[in-house]
Amino acid sequence: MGLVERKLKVFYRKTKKGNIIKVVREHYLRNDVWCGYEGCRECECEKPILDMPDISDSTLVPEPHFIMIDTNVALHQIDVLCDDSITNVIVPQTVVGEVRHRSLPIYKRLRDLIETSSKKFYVFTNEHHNECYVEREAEESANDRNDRAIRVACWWYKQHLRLCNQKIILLTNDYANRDKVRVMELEAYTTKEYVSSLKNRPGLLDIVASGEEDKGEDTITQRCLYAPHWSMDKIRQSLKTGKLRQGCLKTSRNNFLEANVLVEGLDKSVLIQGRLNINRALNDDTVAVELLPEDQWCRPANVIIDQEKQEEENKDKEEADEDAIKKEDDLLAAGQGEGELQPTGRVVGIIRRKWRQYCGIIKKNEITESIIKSRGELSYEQAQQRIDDPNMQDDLTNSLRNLNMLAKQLKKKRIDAGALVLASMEVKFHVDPDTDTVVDIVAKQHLETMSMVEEFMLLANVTSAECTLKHFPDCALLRRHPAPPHSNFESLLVAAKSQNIELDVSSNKTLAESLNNVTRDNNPFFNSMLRIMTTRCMMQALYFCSGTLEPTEYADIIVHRLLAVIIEADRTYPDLLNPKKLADLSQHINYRHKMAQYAGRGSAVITAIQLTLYLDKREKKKEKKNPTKGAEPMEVDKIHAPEFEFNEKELFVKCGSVIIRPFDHLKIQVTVDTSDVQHQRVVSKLIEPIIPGFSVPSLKRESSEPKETTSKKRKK
Amino acid sequence: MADISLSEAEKRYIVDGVKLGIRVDGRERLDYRQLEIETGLVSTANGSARVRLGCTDVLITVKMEMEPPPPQQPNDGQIHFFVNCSANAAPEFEGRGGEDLATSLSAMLDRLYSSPLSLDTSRLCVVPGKHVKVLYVDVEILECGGNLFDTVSLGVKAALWATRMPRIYITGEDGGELEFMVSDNPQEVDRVDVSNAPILITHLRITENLTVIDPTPEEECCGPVQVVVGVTPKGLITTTQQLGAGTFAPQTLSASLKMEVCGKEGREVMLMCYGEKAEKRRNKVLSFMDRKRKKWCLCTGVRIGREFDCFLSVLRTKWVTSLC
Repeated sequence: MGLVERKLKVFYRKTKKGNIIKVVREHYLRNDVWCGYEGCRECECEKPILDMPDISDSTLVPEPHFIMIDTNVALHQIDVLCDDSITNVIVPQTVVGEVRHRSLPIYKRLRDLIETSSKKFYVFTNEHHNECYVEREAEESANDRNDRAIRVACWWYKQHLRLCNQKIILLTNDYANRDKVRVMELEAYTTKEYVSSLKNRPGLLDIVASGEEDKGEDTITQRCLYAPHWSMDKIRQSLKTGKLRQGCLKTSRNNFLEANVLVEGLDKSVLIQGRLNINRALNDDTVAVELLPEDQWCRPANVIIDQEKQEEENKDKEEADEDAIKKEDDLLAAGQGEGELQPTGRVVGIIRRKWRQYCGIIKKNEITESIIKSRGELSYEQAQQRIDDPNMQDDLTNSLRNLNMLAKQLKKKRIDAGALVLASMEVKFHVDPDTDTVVDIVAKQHLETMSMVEEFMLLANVTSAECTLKHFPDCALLRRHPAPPHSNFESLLVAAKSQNIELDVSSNKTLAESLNNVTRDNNPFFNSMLRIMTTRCMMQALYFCSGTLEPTEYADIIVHRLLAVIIEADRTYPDLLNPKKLADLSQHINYRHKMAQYAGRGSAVITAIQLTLYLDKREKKKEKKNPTKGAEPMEVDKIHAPEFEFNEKELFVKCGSVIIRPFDHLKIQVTVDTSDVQHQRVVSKLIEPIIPGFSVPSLKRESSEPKETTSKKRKK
Repeated sequence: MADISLSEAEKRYIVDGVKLGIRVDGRERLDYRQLEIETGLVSTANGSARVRLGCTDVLITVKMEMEPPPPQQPNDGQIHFFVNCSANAAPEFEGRGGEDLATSLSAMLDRLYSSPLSLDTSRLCVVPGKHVKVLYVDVEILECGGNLFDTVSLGVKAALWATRMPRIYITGEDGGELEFMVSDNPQEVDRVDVSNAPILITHLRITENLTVIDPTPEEECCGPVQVVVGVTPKGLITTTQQLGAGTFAPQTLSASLKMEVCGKEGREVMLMCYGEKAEKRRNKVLSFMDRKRKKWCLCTGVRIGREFDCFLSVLRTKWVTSLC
């Protein structure tokens, strides 16, 4: 008794890298695998699981019997197996293995059944039974081999149980297998046959999954309306070979079933007609386009087809998608215009989605899936003009005004709640489009429309943050500005003090209020300057787990995924809901964000250098306005200074009779020092107030630059 | 190779015997010792063989891997040889002692199989330029009892013959690249075509005009110089190499080869290997020599009959006269 034979199980496996490995496993066959029936005198089973009821409930099998199940029964009829009336079941090990391989949830249920002692499910380790082990034959599939193993196990039971006058039947959903079993003079039925023969359990038939019999298991036909998008790899490859073209998709303004793709290297844009050819791409997406053969090229339709109208018309009729599409195609064909044939193609993949602010429309703080319908594209200036122009009374303008009003209310609410308004000046360069030279530099104007957009973005952010936090208290990805430590404000406070200003930095609200109170009549920039300085004291925004839009796109994506889950447009994946993973991710985003900011500040210097170079080229050493930018505090070149005294307490620089304090007016000259080509520097020199031996004379004719220049000056 | 000390008298005895056509163990000059070949004994390898020729004992395993081909040969699979001289085989192999011999053996095998006429490596190609089958042949010298080159070459041929590679199907194209899949049936395998695979035959010069094949270690002491010839079943000489320091008079060599090996008798060396079923019963491996028919049957055939027709090849050593 014990080990009888050693077999080798050999199979080949392909690794991810494409290598093929031969796997050899030892497999031991034993002659002490018991049948599990308590009445069996042959077997020395210590804890027999199967007992035998005296009567049979089935009309099909009048004698008491054991049931052996096939894999497909376990997979598809697990509900039936769970029923209390089904007991004394023999589950061959082959079945357990196959179920585990095919479906983990069902495997778990099967295991639970086996664990439940009242169900009397016995796992028969036929694979290790020296009489039941079968080896796969040359022309046999793995499935056929397993079926055969189950049949052999059943046959073995029949012979074995004959000694104690007991019976076994096999339940299978596979007719072919059932017939093969019957050839071996064994009893076999499908689940339906068997369950319908049970006298006392008529309700059980209702939970028999129907339609599974006879059919192959994987014949669920999927009806795909749209052609699937190609894989990114395939697109990349095909773009290289020239099989595909890429470009930006622009849907036609008067025909929603038509779009154009601007492709490089072609004179004309590529026409895309019909819903199927557009293939789920939206306006402004970068798409991969396959050109159709020339005989299929079309002319753009000259009719207006409006989506809403179409939808309204179709609302009542419940049309199948295909019919709707056919109808649309007919519509297009009917509208075939005259004129030249245009290269025509179809979208095979979307390379990059134009991410709009798809946060959904916010109704009572609820998020729903929606598609933004663009009514027009306006720049901030254009929008502002529309709002300001009392003569404009069209729908668009009025809705803009409404939005603006809403935004103002939102802003007020925010400020009342203690939001801090900080400033960061941006300069704008007017470039002559023909010569590519800088014509003028102006500080970027702050328009109402900007804060309007900002307010709504903030609202979307806040809403999505609240929403994700509510639904995913563990793993929402959020962003916050940590409260800056007091030390951050020290330099600001000293600077403010030199101007006799007291700032209360104890909270957001107090700081906001004290900033609001500070104005200087003689210097309209003063308040802004102060705000710029305050910005510098703030802490960088931190992402933390438990969303927002704006700078870091990846954080965006995560939040969008969470939102999609909330509105049930998407499924979750384990990593998304793992708080630890998300915490790690937040850390990483923070790091990247910080790096990006450093890079941004760095580039500000470079831009300054480049621009000065531009100007430099144009007119040697033109004096220009110091880009206050809040960028690099230009340093006083101390080396040539006659005698500067720096007063740290009151924060001023003294040279002879001249005292320069923060926020004092200065006139400086900015040039680029190109003496070291490797390291070009922006050099700023003082013009006013005049310090003999240090300041430089203005190069500019006074008349041409009437503006006063301001600059903050700090000690090195 | 093996370090054996013989007295002058013993050497004399061997040399004089060869002159009279009688070797110490009773063989003729061009006789092989008893040969045993077993295949399929390493289950984790794709192919394996163990060859015993007299006291010489070598184990050869073949492993298949998928690798990208070198850019200059995008359509060819590859075969690599690695020889390890175990210190168990001979005391002088201890440490790095066996390295020189191992290198010369693997270099010899490389040359032997370098020609497409001996092994068509293009049949090992799966996806041109991307995936080819690479065969790694590992040779382990277990015991060194003379005539190592011949034994190893026989073993390599037998192991390649026994190699089973899972069948590979091209399943489709993804992004312009062909995808492949391994057959899930372990019995669906491809074989290596070894019908043209060469073997090595070593001639030891005993005296001026006499050579012996398959020398014992004792005989190797008596003759300082050997010539190793690689030859395919079709009689194509693929490589030759001289071992040891000494002169080998060309006339002697060619005359003796021509006359004694392929001469009038047309002596054939028949190299057989057992078939699938014999392999399963490798514990009953036998071998025999059929001297009467002047044939060398190298086989382990348990049964002579239907399975016996699975043989490696019939090798006719038609020595090319223009050897020198």
